[in-house]
Amino acid sequence: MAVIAAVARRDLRAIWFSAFGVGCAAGFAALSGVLLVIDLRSDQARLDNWFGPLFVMVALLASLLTVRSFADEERTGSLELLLTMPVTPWQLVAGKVLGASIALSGALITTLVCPLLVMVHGSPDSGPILTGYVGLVLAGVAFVCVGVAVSAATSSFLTAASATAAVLMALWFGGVIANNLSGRLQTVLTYLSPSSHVTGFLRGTLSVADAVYFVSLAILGAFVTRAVLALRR
Amino acid sequence: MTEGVEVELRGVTRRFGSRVAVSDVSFTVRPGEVLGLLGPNGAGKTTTIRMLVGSLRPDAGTVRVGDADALRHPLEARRRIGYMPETGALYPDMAVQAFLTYCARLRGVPRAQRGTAVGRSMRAAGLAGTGPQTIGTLSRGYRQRVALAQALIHDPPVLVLDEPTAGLDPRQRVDVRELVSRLGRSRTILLSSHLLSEVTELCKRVVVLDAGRVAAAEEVSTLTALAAGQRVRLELRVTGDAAVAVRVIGAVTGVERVEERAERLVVTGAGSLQPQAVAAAVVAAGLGLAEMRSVGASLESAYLGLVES
Repeated sequence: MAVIAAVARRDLRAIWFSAFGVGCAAGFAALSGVLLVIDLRSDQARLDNWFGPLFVMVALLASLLTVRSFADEERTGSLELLLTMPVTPWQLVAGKVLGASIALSGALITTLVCPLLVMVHGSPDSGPILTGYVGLVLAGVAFVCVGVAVSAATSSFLTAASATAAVLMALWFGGVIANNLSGRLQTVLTYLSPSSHVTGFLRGTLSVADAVYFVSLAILGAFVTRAVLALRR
Repeated sequence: MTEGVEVELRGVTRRFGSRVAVSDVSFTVRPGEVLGLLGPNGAGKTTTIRMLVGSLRPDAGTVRVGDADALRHPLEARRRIGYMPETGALYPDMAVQAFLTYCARLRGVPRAQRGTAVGRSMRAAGLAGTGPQTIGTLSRGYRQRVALAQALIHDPPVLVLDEPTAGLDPRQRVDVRELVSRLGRSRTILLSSHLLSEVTELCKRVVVLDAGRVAAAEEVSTLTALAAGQRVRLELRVTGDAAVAVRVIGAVTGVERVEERAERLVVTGAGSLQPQAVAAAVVAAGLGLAEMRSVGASLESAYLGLVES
């Protein structure tokens, strides 16, 4: 556990104490504010239309924050050293996921000001706000796991970020495209898409199936990362 | 593990796609020995080292460090090794002390001993006073010292140093060499280097790799003695047309190669080569012979003989 914490702390520090990390978090917070302004145009104290696009933004943020996990270490050569430490691949993967997840959660905390503002000026239902954040954290960790896996497969900062974003957007919009399809393909694409698993969180319900989906995505990402690390050796 | 052996590679092979980078490499390092790993670029030195330290898996063969089989018990083997990679492999955004503390954590140094371990490794690598400095702001020489300090953080019995003086100026090179020499008194060291003078100074025994295979694994003295018996090397300063000199010397019996190097000609030949015959050929061609000397057999001549044969 100490090793996982050490790796996570190192990555967290590298993200938070860098212009890149601060820029990502600031951009995320600013965009969430813009989304809130757009959402409040309806003159209703409800935030489900605000949470929806926030999930897409979390996917993009995860793409950016996870490039530091392995791609940046590969670029600077420090991965070579890391792989010679008496650390198991699972400890390494867990540390990387934990570090990026905490960094992402930190960015999510900055958005709390939005529901607080709405609560000051109105009486929104607190249930969907709570489940919305639970959903954002769950989805965020799953997206981070996908990002860490892509990051492990490349040494290019840009490739890692754009490939993760492409994978997550393809999954997300696969669900949208599925609406125009029928049969088994529609069922598969709909299930695979995170967009079809966030609706419950937006409505204020916690569904085990949705939670299982995001946990499964996270586990899949972790296994792929482990496999990529094994292939590197 | 063979008795009296700290590191053992046996029949180690590694392919990258269809290219065989290292083929059937076997050698041992004895406890307390400083072993040099030599070879031209692309000979497989770094690949061999990476398989030893665990960042690459061999396709065939076995690697043992102490009593640990590096493939079956990789963590145990890695705990016994301190590794200084060829490239910096550092975090430029971290302070020296923070980086070393991080390495100590990953290396499993108990919390109560981390401060002492960091201080000890900093002193051993000549980094006293640099603790709060950011690694990215240090000179290349100091970054090499940081890389060495992290290799020493857990006080390992085996040190693996991949080109420890690469890119350093002569003063820094001497410093690092002295450091390695000092460390070699209490540890087993595998040192990869391009600098033959460095290897001659620090190592008693060398393993020469060529095209991914072991070309020789001998004591430095054995290799140079072998080279002395097999080859003659002459250095000449000739006045007149150098091209003519190269041609006439090349025609002398026993001459294998004539090279122009900074206004000098370096002649390499078999043991039967007569220096007088070379001098006579130069004079007979109407050229002036300003200087001619026989260059003693060195690790360089032995090395060249091995990798060019």
